[in-house]
Amino acid sequence: MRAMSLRCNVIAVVLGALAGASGARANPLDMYGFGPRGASLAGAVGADVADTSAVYYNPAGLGRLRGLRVDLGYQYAAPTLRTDRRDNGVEATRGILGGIAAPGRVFGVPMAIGIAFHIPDAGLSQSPAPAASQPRWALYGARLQRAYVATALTIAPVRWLRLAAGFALTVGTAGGVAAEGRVSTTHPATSALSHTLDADLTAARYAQLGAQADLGRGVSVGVTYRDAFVMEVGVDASLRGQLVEGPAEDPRSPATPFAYALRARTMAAFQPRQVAMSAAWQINPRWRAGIDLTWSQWSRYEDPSAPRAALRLYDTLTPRFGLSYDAPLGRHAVALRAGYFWDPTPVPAQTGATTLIDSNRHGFSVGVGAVLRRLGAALPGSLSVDAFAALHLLRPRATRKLDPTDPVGDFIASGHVLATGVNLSVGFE
Amino acid sequence: MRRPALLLATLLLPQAAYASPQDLFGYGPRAAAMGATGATFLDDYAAVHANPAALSRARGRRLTLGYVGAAFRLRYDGAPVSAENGSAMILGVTAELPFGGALRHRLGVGVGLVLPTDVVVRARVRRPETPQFLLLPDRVQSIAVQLGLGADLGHGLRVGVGATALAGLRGAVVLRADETGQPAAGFDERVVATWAPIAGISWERGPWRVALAYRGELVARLDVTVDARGLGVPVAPLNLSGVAQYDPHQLQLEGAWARGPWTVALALTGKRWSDFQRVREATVEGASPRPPLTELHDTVVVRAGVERRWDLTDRTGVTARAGAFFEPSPAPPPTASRGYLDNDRLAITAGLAMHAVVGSTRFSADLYGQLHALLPREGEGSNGRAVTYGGTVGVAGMTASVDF
Repeated sequence: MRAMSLRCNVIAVVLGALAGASGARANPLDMYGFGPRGASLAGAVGADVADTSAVYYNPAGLGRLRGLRVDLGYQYAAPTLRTDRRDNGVEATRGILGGIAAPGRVFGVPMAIGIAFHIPDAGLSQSPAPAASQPRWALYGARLQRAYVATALTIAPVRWLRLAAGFALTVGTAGGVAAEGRVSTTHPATSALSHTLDADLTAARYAQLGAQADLGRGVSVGVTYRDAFVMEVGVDASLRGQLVEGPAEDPRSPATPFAYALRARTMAAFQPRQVAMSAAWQINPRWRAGIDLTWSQWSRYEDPSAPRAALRLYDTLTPRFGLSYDAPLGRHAVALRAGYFWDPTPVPAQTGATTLIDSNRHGFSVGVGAVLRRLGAALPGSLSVDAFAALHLLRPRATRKLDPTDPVGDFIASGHVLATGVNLSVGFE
Repeated sequence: MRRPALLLATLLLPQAAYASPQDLFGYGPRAAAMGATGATFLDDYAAVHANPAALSRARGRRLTLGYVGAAFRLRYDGAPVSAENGSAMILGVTAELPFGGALRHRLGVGVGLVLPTDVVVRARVRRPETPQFLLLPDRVQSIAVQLGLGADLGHGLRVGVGATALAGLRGAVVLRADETGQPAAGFDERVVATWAPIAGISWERGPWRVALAYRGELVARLDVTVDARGLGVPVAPLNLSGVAQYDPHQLQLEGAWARGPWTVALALTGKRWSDFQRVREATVEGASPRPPLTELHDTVVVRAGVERRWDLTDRTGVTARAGAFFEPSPAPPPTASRGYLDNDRLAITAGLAMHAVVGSTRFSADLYGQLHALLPREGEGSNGRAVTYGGTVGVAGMTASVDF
């Protein structure tokens, strides 16, 4: 390559649209849940969530709070994802999460505001741009290293109804870097390169809406809407100047101009529009059951590096079920929880040039919680500790390429994810 | 002579983002209208920046929503400099932590979010010889995420801690030739969080108040490496990096007198700019000219603010505010090889607030404005001759708050 460069008078190479593939889940919460209670009930909490995780699950749930509440926790998910039984080394997701919610009244109407966040240890976002043809797990890995910060406002116009609106934001980048100067091939120490940098960290906002209604006899229903968003990341890099044989500062040295330009465009994140219908039944003071059905509009996904017809994802319907048992211990209480969901993959069979890897997912979860009430004059409310563990099983899925010379070839994908988390809450009811 | 000057000014780019908008203009409508004072008397979300100890004054819960904008009129060598105006949305929440017993009315928390309408952080790092305003105007294009906790220790003594967060970028581009000899590339980027601590203490006795607030150094870097050795460029990976945002270590000492409807505050803010030594690093260590030092020096900002409240009825009132501050420039005059421009800044501030209690709900609305004069200054232009530069900055904002 170097010999070629020196032979040419001008070398101008444009490295075109780079990769740009495979943004998928916009945040780890869609994949693993937000906080131990919601995660242990498999996310089937949209109808009766009543802590700061409501900002994510259904912001109308903030209206159930009877006092200021502060949550702080940590969540960890370790995927073991394989193709042909080889571990693909997909990165774990871990991060701190929490929130604060404050209920009150305006003109006598109950209202509440909440702020919730999840900050991955690995950073606020990560946007690798692998080659378009490179096989990759579409919904996992770096794409889940994305911060979630959201806020919501809830009002309860009548006693049995709560309405909420809010927004979430996430971070991407756009900009460019450039370097130019004289580079000596024989005396590198005399090279003189300088650079400029012009970049914006951009914010994408998307709406979240929710409603909850109490129907009596312990039955509540809810609906949650999360808007779609696409976060595209673009970086332009240019490198130009002269390759010099001899000292770079010597104007008599033979010089060959060169120029390289890179335009990288990748879809860093795609969140499908989602609508979740939820119901919860407080069967008796101890038993509670919940169900949730989430529609995700994956069909709007567009891979900038592949024709839409070649990679048209399917919309999905994800059913979720949760069951909890609360046992009073004096003025305190403990809770046992379990849940299950089935998340069908939106990725169609990958028989052509693209190779997004994914499979249907079964999620099993269990959790435990303890509520300690009236711990003294200083804390008239409650202190809660919750924990969960979940196992997500990805059913084996075979990929058969139509082209027998396809460099990726046929393979079978499978795997599982182990997730766990803890949370500490202070409630000032 | 006029035409080259205009051309040069057109080439000037509104430049990077050193220090944040809250550092430039103050934080929150009350502080911004009172000369960016506030460490002694704030009781709303803005205390997360001015002095988190003041959050212990929070009673009940307050939600604040607002909008702020800044417009720049900068001039270089007699010609206007293109500068993008900035605007941001404001969200603030304060709440008393309603513990009982000995902790009753002792603790308060606050969260403040200033979200620019366009970007989270803007970074433009130019070649050092390019004339560029060092501390304006892209500084307003920066998110402010701040939270704090304040405690009332009794006997008029309050303490508080908090943090402010920003984002930086790390990226890597690898250029190479693939198996067929065609150029290929790989790209990876990661947005990372960076944060700085805020701590404060205040003491009050009768109408007198004094406060000391510390704000840590906040640095957001953009670091991108480009490795082109695979394409035959015989140099080590290029380090295309720069500082996107920089808030220096700060210590603010403030005294105030508050009696009845009047509040008067005076403050001194020391800023350790001398730690900010370089805007950028060498493109290739050992094979690039070393970028010049900024040669910034430490500064002391003088601030003053006054407030007068009129209670129209027992449930309504208006408040007028005014203030000023003088912020000396930390930058030396520019030279031909270091085109960093900055001016001493004299700011006049004013504001108006109204509040009403309807039923059991208290509402308030705040308006404020600032006019900054960048005092004219002379330095050496890129062509070696003398140039003058300066300008004005206008800031306006409004917020609405409800106690609930």
